[in-house]
Amino acid sequence: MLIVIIRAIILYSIVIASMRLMGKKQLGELTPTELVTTILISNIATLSLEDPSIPLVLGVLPILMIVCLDVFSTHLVLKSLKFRQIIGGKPRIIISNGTIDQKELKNLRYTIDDVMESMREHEIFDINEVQYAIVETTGKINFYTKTQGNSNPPTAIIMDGELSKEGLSQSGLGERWLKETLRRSNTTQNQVFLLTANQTGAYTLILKENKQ
Amino acid sequence: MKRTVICIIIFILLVISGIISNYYVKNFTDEVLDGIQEIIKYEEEQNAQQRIMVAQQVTQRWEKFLEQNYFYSDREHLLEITKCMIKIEYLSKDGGDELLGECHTAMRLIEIYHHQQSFSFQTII
Repeated sequence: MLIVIIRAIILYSIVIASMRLMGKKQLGELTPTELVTTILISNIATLSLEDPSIPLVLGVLPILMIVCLDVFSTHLVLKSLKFRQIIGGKPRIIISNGTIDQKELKNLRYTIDDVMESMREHEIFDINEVQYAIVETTGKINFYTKTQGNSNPPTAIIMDGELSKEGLSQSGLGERWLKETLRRSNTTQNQVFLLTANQTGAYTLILKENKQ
Repeated sequence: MKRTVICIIIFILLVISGIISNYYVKNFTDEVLDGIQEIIKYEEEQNAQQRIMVAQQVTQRWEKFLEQNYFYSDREHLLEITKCMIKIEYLSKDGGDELLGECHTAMRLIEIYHHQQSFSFQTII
């Protein structure tokens, strides 16, 4: 009995420390990888609590290993856009210029009921009001209404020095526009932290901070 | 960055402790298996004095190993082996088929334990 109580205290402290080590994002909306990590940690933690014949160390070691793997993958996610998309997926546009992309909905296994329900949650009751809708990596759908603008909202074209060809094609602006914009701003792709632009060519450019 | 460094250190420590424990279990189980084989040999030679002495040594060695391994090995399996080791020490005083039977059971259980702890594709899967 006493062993189980002590184990509960130790495991609780370790799981809390692990969550702190992984960062605050674990407490908000979870991406698929974060959800998997959280479920795994909580399940492993209960194993040695439920069964006293399993040594506590056998419960703690996998938790530590999962935390390490999570931190390593987060590090790679920050470094590489490709890895970020492999691990966390990428946001998918399901309504563009007021038109529903039915193929994309099918790919995402979303029904029109899911979209309508999500619209109502955003207090939108007529699909004609929607200019643009995007399914985030967390599974949440966000909407951009026609009252907010007649063209699609800006898309990210360069993120952390990496070009998103998808973002460029969604914005409807070509590589020529991109080259021209970078030239006018007197910068290169690698120096750009974020470049977003909409279909009219209005853009926002944020440069990377210089490393100390 | 600090977070990554901490995790690299934890990861290295985990891997090192895994390798060391693997090596330790392998060495120790080999040692105990040799001891049990010696008991069988002395039983066949009807050398009661040596048989009793080796049985005591092997049991003591096992108990020492148990203390160290108790916090990271499957306790139910260790308990099964411990039961056999106690019986071996007790039966070594009289010898006979029962002792041989117990020795073979202990050897098989230790081999299974060794296999469970060893780093192989089968144990990982």
